[in-house]
Amino acid sequence: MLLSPLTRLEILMIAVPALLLLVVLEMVRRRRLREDYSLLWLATFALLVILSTFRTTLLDSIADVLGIFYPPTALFVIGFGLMLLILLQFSTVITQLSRQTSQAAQHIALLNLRIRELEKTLQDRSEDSRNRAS
Amino acid sequence: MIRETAHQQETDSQVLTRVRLLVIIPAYNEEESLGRVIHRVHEAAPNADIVVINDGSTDATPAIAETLEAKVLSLPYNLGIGSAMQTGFIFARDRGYDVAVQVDGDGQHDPSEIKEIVECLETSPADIVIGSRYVEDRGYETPWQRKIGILVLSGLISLLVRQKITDPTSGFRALNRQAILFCAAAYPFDYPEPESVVLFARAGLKIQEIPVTMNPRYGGQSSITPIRSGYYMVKVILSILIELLRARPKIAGETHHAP
Repeated sequence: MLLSPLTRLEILMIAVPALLLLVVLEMVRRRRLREDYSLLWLATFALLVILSTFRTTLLDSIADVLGIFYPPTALFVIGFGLMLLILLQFSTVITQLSRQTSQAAQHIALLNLRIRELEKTLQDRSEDSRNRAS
Repeated sequence: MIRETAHQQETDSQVLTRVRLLVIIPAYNEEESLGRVIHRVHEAAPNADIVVINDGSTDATPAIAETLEAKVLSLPYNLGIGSAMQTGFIFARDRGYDVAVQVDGDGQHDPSEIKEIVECLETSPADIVIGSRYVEDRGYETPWQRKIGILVLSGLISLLVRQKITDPTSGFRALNRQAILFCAAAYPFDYPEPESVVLFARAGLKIQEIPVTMNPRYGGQSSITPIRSGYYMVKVILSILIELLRARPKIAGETHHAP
């Protein structure tokens, strides 16, 4: 191995979130992911890239402020926090979706009954006129 | 038996003929009991319209309702009793019914008591009349776990609405036009009965309980299991407490909807 284990880890910690950042951007481009739902993902991966890139300056001082002795742990803490935010966003979206699907189902039921009733009146009316004609 | 009901109709059913009454029967896989329930509602309130809310049943529930000339609102998938009932309230609102009565499809509620509930609604200042198992002891046997649950809920709710509510889980209730408008606009989606009592009180609607007799279910499966009742209690109490943090709900006015 040419590189020391620490350097390899450093490269990995920049490369992986950078790659994921590109994946998310590509998914938005292909409309597999809505822009508004991609925001938190983009923010998370961008932040991880930045923090890993400026490990000795930015990350170390953040770890220091938070009272974390081992700076890479600060990276996990921040990543975990953002992950929780994303999950919370999912829950709110699910709540909204379930309300909407439920309203849609109610409308379907109400419209269905109206259609059946209208069909019946139509049928009755045409039978009536047929009887009158004969 | 038949002669007796006919006689009663002549004397007591003035209220039932005067108001435009809709009986809402929420039903989820109730093929064993639904037919009997509809028959008995027809018998007890011949002038009432019946609408069965088929909450995504996989059995013959909607077919039974159709053959017995009830209107059927079939939800394409199971939404839970709250959203099912709301569908019924929207229907009642859009078709201009004065009074809506909820009667469960499992046969627990005795349709012959619809008359008393509706009469009470018409003669008292109440906007909602709830048929309660516990106003007087009529021998309804409640399993002890449920009894504790109902005691806790009725204690909490009575405290919050500043009125004694003995049976907040009862789904046997009648609503006047104002209450129908309120429920059509917003109704709790699941396990709605206790929460709706708090909602009614906070909206300024008046609640009245009257004693009723409830039967064990005719057939089919109850949806209540020990784990679900635990979840039920936690969910209902959380909903009620969070409701207190919200702005007071308003009663929706009449809007002109398609008939």
